[in-house]
Amino acid sequence: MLTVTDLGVSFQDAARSRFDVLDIAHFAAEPGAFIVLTGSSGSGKTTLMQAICGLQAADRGHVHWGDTDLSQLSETARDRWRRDHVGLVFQDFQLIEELSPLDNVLVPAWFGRFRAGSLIDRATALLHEFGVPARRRLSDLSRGERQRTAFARALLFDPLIILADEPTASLDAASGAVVIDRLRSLAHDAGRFVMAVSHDPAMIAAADRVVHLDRGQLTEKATR
Amino acid sequence: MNPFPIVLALWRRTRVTSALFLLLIAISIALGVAIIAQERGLRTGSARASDPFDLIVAAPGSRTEILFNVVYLRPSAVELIPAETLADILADPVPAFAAPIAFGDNAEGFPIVGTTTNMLRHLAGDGVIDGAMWAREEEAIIGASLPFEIGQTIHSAHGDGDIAGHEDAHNDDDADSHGGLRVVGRMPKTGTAWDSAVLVPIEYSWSTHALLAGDPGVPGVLEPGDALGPVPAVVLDTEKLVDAYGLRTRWQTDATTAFFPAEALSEIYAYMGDVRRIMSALTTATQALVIAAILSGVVALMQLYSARLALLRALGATRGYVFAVMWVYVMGLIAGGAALGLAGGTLTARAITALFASETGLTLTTRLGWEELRLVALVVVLGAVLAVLPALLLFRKPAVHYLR
Repeated sequence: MLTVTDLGVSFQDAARSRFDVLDIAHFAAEPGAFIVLTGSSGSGKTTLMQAICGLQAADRGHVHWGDTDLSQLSETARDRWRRDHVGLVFQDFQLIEELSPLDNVLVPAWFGRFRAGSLIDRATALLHEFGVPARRRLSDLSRGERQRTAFARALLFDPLIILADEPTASLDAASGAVVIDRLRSLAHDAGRFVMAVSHDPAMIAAADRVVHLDRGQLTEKATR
Repeated sequence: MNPFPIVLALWRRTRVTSALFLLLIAISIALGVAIIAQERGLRTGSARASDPFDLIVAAPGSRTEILFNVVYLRPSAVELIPAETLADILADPVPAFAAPIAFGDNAEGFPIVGTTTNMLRHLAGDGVIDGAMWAREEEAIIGASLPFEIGQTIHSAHGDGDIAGHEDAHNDDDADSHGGLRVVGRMPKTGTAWDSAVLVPIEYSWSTHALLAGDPGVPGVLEPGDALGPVPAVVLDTEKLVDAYGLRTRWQTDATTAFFPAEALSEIYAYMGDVRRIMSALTTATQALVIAAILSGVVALMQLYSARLALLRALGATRGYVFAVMWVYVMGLIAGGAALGLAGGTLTARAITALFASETGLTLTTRLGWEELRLVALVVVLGAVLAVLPALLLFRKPAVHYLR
């Protein structure tokens, strides 16, 4: 279970004065629900995602995942925890052009002890499941195939938490529908914690919970 | 942890810049390696070439100049030892033999050296002279590298260094009257400049320059009572080192100078060493500048790719992993450049050596030595230490900064 308590994040502007980006008194969520996070540009959506996966250090407050308090972990421990527990999907896929789809999926495996055999099999199976050729050049893939490659990478370690930042923003409707279906399935069928930042009406319509960020503060917009 | 796939991807991404970095490092190292290897090759080759010449006696003058005349056959105008003094030297009972050396003519561009049979046998060492020894003044034994055949007649010409002080005495009509030189034998390879020389009896050199009055006797063999001429130098061979020192003292007179080739070489080497030290310092400075320039380039390059490296952090890479990627990336360039430079430097030194050997006739060998390996190791170790800088500089700000 995710519990966010008194979370505050601030940045420094060009004039070296600080301004608040996040100010969240409390937020909790259980695995098995598909949560969509909305809000205008600059409202702090991406920062919240980064804070709850331990990438963004908080000025104050706590982010608990079960018994693990991310604010108590060292930077290296947070990196390792993120690698093992979080699958990230980005709007612009963030794939490495010089690597094959298979190698892109395997990237997180190289951060720790290399477990080639089983992970190569799993990466190949994931790509096969998503209908992406494993050995083709990345430049030859369609945008939908690239996004599915990014999904396969996020799922390499079968993480408990899936965080997606505008995952359908650069896809056509058909490819977007596949992604939405996949995220819902991960939440409902696999019991994962799935949160996506999105302005896509189709994704908002498919969400179990829609939370809205406005100038760093959360409001529950709708619940199914 | 396996940073190599990411490093390979980075190299592919920056292949033009990386290739340029690699080339710069390789060139700077190759310069250093070539200078060191070439200088050592020249030093050992020139020292080996002077081995057969135990003690040189000449008219007073520059020892370096005499050395270049006698050992390396680079003729220049030097004073001559008078025939009377030569007779005294030949009569000295201590040396195993005393061989006068004369030069100043050439045969189809190759230097003609007048000397004696015992000098030829001494130079040949364990090797066998192919063909026959001189039976007449107009016969020649050629060095191992010359393109002539035994039985062939070659024509001499005045020049390529004159018999010192006697160029006016040379009589072309007289030289022509010899009707050329018939090649009767070939020397085994000696690894000296004499491999590219046409060796004739000393009497031939005297006769063609009208320096002889009287009966010269058997060609290439100087017996008491034989008519003698002046010569630029005499090589003395001794059985014992102590005898050589004694002769050196004895023939260090107002009329003659006597010296070991090593004495003159050590002066040359001291000069060469100074030059090499300056060149080495310059190349070391160049290498340091190249590495500094490359590190600056890498820092700039990595700022461009900082978002990609920050992505690795987002996916769960530790700071240590990204540091390893950066370090291996830079070290790969430095180590690759060093390896290429080592190979390039060795090849360059060999090419220069081959050119120098063809010019001088000396056998020079260029092999990698500890000094070159130390230089490369120094660059690699320095690179290994400095390669941490781009990695340290890259993530002064948190990874999320580069992801925004």
